Formats: sequence, C-alpha cells, structure tokens
Amino acid sequence: MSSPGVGETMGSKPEEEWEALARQVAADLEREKQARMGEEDEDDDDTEFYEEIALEESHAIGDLAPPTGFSQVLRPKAEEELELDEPELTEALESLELDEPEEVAWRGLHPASLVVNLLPRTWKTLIGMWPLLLLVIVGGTGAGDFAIADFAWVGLFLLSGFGSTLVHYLTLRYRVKGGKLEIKQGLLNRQARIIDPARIQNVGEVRNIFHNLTGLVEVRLETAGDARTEGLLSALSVQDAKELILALEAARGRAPREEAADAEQAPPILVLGVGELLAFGLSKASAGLVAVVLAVGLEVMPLISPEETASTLENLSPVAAFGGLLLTLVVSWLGSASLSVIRHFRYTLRREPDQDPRQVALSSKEGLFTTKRMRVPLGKVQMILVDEPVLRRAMGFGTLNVETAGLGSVQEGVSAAELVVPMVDREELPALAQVALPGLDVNPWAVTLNPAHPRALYRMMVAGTLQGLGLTALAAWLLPGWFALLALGVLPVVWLTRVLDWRAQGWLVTPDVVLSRRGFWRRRTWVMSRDKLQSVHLAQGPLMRFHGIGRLAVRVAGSQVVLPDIGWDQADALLDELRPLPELDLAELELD
Amino acid sequence: MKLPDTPTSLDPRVKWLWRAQSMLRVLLFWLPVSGAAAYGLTSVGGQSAAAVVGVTVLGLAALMALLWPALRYQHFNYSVREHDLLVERGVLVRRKSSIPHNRIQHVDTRQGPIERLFGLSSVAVYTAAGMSADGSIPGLASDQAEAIRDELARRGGDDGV
Repeated sequence: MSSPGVGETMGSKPEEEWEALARQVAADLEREKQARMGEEDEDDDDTEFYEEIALEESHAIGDLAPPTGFSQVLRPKAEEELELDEPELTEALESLELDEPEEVAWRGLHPASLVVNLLPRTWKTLIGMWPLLLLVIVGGTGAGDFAIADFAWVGLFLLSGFGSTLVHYLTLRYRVKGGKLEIKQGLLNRQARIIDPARIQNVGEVRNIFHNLTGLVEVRLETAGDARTEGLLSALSVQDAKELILALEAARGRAPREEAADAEQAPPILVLGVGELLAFGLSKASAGLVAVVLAVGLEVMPLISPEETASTLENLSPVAAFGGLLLTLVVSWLGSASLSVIRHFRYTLRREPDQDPRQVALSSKEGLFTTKRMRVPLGKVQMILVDEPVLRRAMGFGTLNVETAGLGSVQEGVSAAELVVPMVDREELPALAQVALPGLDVNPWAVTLNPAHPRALYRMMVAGTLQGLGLTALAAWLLPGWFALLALGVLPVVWLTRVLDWRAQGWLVTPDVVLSRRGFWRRRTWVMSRDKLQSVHLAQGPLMRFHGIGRLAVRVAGSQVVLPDIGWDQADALLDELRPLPELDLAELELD
Repeated sequence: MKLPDTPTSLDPRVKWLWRAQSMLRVLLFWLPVSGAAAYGLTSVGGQSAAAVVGVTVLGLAALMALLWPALRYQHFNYSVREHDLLVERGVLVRRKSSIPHNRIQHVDTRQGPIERLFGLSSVAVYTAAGMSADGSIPGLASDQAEAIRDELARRGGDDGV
C-alpha cells in the first residue's frame, strides 16, 4: 500500500513547515478528540476511554518514546528518518504542548479487491434478494415468455452486487492507532469499529481462488462475543496483511519479531497427506455410517429372504430405485470425502514459540483452492474437544478441535472450533492435546474415568425402548400385516447401543482440568482448563429426581463441558468444589 | 446491609408480584384463547359444552396463576457466598448455578412497571460465557438488590478470556 505514513512525510519537510504541520496535527487531534467524545455512547465504560488517552499521552513525541505498534514495527525506515529530526521535532511539538501527536494514516483495501470480491459479493447480494429474484423469474411476465424485462431485473441485481463491491472497496479504511484497531466502512450505512488487540481471540488468513490469482489475502479477526471482522478486511496485499498482524501483536505487548522468526520458520509438528485426509473424509460420522449400514444391509438381505430379494429383482424398477439411492449415497459420501481433502489439503500444524508463554501459538495452514491460515495463542484456548467417530477410531485416528472464546466458523449449521486438526494418530493424541492445553495433567486415554451413574443407564434404556416401540408402531402403520413386527428386531440393537454408550461415558476432575467423555458411535472427549471456568450449573428434571441423578455443566467463554449424569449429591459437591483457579502460569509449565 | 451467605428466600412480596404478572397473562393470553376455543366448539358440541370447556381452561389457568407462584417462591433461594453467587430455583426442573465472583463481567438491577408497584427489583449477572438467565435473581427488595449489585460489582476480577 502506498499511502504515506506520518514518518515519511515528516522526514522530508524543511524546518519552517514543521510548525505549520504540528499546528495542523494539533487541530486535527482536537477535532478528533471531540468527535470521539461524541462517539462514546458505544462504549459505556468511561474509564477505558481515559485509559486510552493516557496511553497515547505516554507516547507523546515530546519524550520520543517509540510510538506504539504500527509505525514502529511497520516503518523501521521512516523511524530512522524521524530520529534524524529528533531535536527540531521535539522543540516544535513541545512549544505547542501537544498531547497526542500520533496521527496514523488510514489504509484501504487493495484495488484488486474489486476482482476478488466481485463474485462472492454478487453472489451474496443474489442470495440476500432471492425472494425478489424468485418472484421475477416465476411470476413476472409469465411462463414461456422470458422477456427482456426479466433479464433487465437480473442485470439490475448483478449491478447492485457490483455496486456493493465498489462501495466496499471505496469506503473501507482501517488503521492501528493508539494501540487499537479501527475499521470503518459504508456509504449510506456507516459502520465504525474499534477493536482492542488484547481482546482478539484468534487471527485467520483466508485466500480463495481469486485471492490466489491476485496474490491477496483476507484477514479475519475474532473477539469474544459476536464481533468479528469476517468480510471486512477482505482483500489486503500479503505485505499489508503481515504488517497489520505484526502491528496487532505489538499492540498486544508481544515483542516485535524478526522476519526470520516468522511463523513459516517454525518446524511443522504435523503434516497431513492426501491419504490421511481422504480417510478423514470417509470416516465422517453420519454419511459414512449410513453407507456402511446400507451396504451391509444389501449383503444381508439375500441371506435372510432369498425369494423375497429374487422376486424384487424381477420387478426391476424398485431395485433400480434402490440402487439409485445407494449410488447417490455412495457418490455423496465420496463427494463429501473429496471436499474434506480439498478443504484441508496439505494441512500443516505449527507451534510458534515465543518468549512470552501466553503468546505461544498454534497455527494451521490448509486448503487447495481456498487456503486458510489460523492462529490461536495458547493463552486464549478455552477448551479442547477430541472427536473420534467409530470408523476413525478403528483406523487409529482422532480429530482435535481447539476452541477459543471466538465464535468459530459455522459449518453444517453448528459452530465449529476455531482450529481443527483433522487426523491425529492415536499415539500422538495425548501429546498434541497437551500442546494445545498446557494445563492438561493427565493422559485422557490412559486415565481411568469416573463412570456415569447406573441409574443413567436405566433411564437411557427406558427412553430407548420407548423410541423402539414408537418405531414399531410407525412400521405397523406403514407396512402390511405381521411384517411390521420385524421392526421389533430393532430393540436389541437399541439396547446394545445404549449399553455401549453408557459404558463409553466418563468424567474426571483433576486439580487442573475438567474432562468429560460421551458417545460410543461418536466418542467425544471435552477437556477444559479449570482456570478458564466461568460458571457451574446443575440441572435435574422430574424423572432425574426420581432416579436421584443430576446433570452438571461447566461453562467457559463460548462453550461448555457437560458431564454425564451423576448422583445429585456428588454433582452438588462438585458444584461447590469447582471454582476458578488463579490463571495458570504458563511460564512455570514451560519449565517443567 | 448484610448480604445473605446462607440460602435465603426472596422477598415474600414477590409471590404477589408473580401472581399479578400471571393474572395479566391469563387476561391477555388465556382469556382470548379459551374464548376462541369455546367459540370454535359451539358449532361442534353445542353452547353448553363450549362454555364448560372455555370456563375450565380459564379456571385452570387462573388457579395455576394463583398457586404456582407460591411453589416457585418456595423453591427459589440465593446466597452470596465467599467465592460465588449461588442461585437455586425450579419447581419441576431443579436448577442450581454457581457464578464465581471473579468471573462476573457486570451486574444489572432492573425494575419494570409492575415491579415498581411492589417495590421490588431484580438482579441480573453476566459472565463472559454470556448466558445470564441462570444468574438472575428476581423479586428482591429494591435496596437489597442494589446492595447485592454493588457488592458483586466490587468483587469482580479477571475474565478468564
């Protein structure tokens, strides 16, 4: 980006111009200060505002402490020039008694963002207007007469998509000033956002095909709660993105790094090949299981009733229909598996070291067409979730999800973790879990967990039986005669599943973590660090009261760990015992 | 004002507050609903049957509006303990929540128009985990609510995020 920074302009000016400039800056600052006073309604905490001012005061050029973050890290060259002029600058500014001399230029998107954003944004506009579009296409001038008017409408929609792209490019401006990130955009609906870098949970860099073609990158920042910058910093040059991220890290108190110590230099701790990713895609819980069950069913059917199957085969069309169904299933299964391969292509996980243990981060890079980099500082990790669907478990792998207080990306309707390690060898899972959650003081796969309450199994059996009977009733209604009773055969399967599920459940509270495991078909293990605990909740429905059991949920920011059902008294005791520990000293852990 | 460190009931006036609120709901919701149901039934089962159904529905709703608040009151208690705020509630589904003082982000006191008539306020507690419903205490005497709010706000700590 070529917008001139403060240092560059200053460095090249003769002395007389200095005073004029300084006066100008002072006036600007006063104006801005007043403007900001007016804006304060967004932030009801006044002290924060004054702290911010105080922070900026401490960086008055009067004592020429290097200005925070942005200009220091971004423009080492400009800073040198600045130092040459130090005495004059100091004088000029002091004579005017400036308290906020720092003025950082706003930066914009890369011009190529027009190309990058055109398709996605047009698509979004179309999606946003679909009812109108549908009305135009279906209604409009009537069937069979797809007239010019219709094309005009569609053209109008496309044009509005282009317009939004243009407005986005022309109005989006950002800067790091006074240790805060400021982003503003909008022509009619103006939006301005100030983000405290210390509150940023994780940083993502995403590049879709167009980004790749133009060499640009989208930067996504997540804070706790619903403030996220997805789609805002949509197309920055690689250099701008790097500068922004470094500036944010510096503002967060992280020591500026040399290029050499950059992320890419840390040796990867995990790299996934196509084979592993394909296995990951194929072992996705739902689709994979359905396909396997269907395939097995198709094998078993002829054994149980050969005549039945044979006669069905004679009436070709139902078989064709069934075959078609199966084919669709297999194709969609393989399709979703290939999507996984594309999404996680060349998955690389790194652990970025740092002097400050809270700034040590896990960073992942993945993707074939859309490449995505995600960076999560370990100090922000709220909990981990290890997902082991039965197929994946059989292959000897598990999936590690690392969750922060950020919202995560929404995939398939559920909020997914911020950083996902798709396939981790079972042998390496404990070690990797410990990297992600340094407080983890046990091996979740070797330690003996406390079982769920026996009454919980009883409850599950009763519920399962009722569901099975309901299914039978439905079958009796749909299918002719005694055939429906075959559906009762589902009951033993249900019972077996419930027993397996119950046996898979377990929980553990250690001095440092809370651990919960549930599920047989899809075994999931949640582990949270006790220093992240937000609140503890215990619930008991009327039936649970009859059994004397309760359900305990431990909340962290953005998520929660729910223990299997345990005895009420025990749960009550845990409610008292679980209280937030003082924050873990990661430095101490590092030494051990 | 001393804050309760053992399980303490709400202000007894809250029973009448809840009754008033429930009766308002009966008037605004159940009266039209039972009226509509009765009107719909007139064509099917005759006027007398419709009247019986309508009056029964309305009567049950009104009875619950009178009786339920007492149960709710009986099952609701709170305490401000050394390290946390403990709230226990629920007639059918029993809930117990512990919110550690040092994780409280902010505390609100609220007072609606009906609450004002009764001189009551409620306290709502927020943590970084967001969901606040389990950490709210309705039906406190206004000065008690303010004392709790000030004390909880005073004890706040780091947010663990």
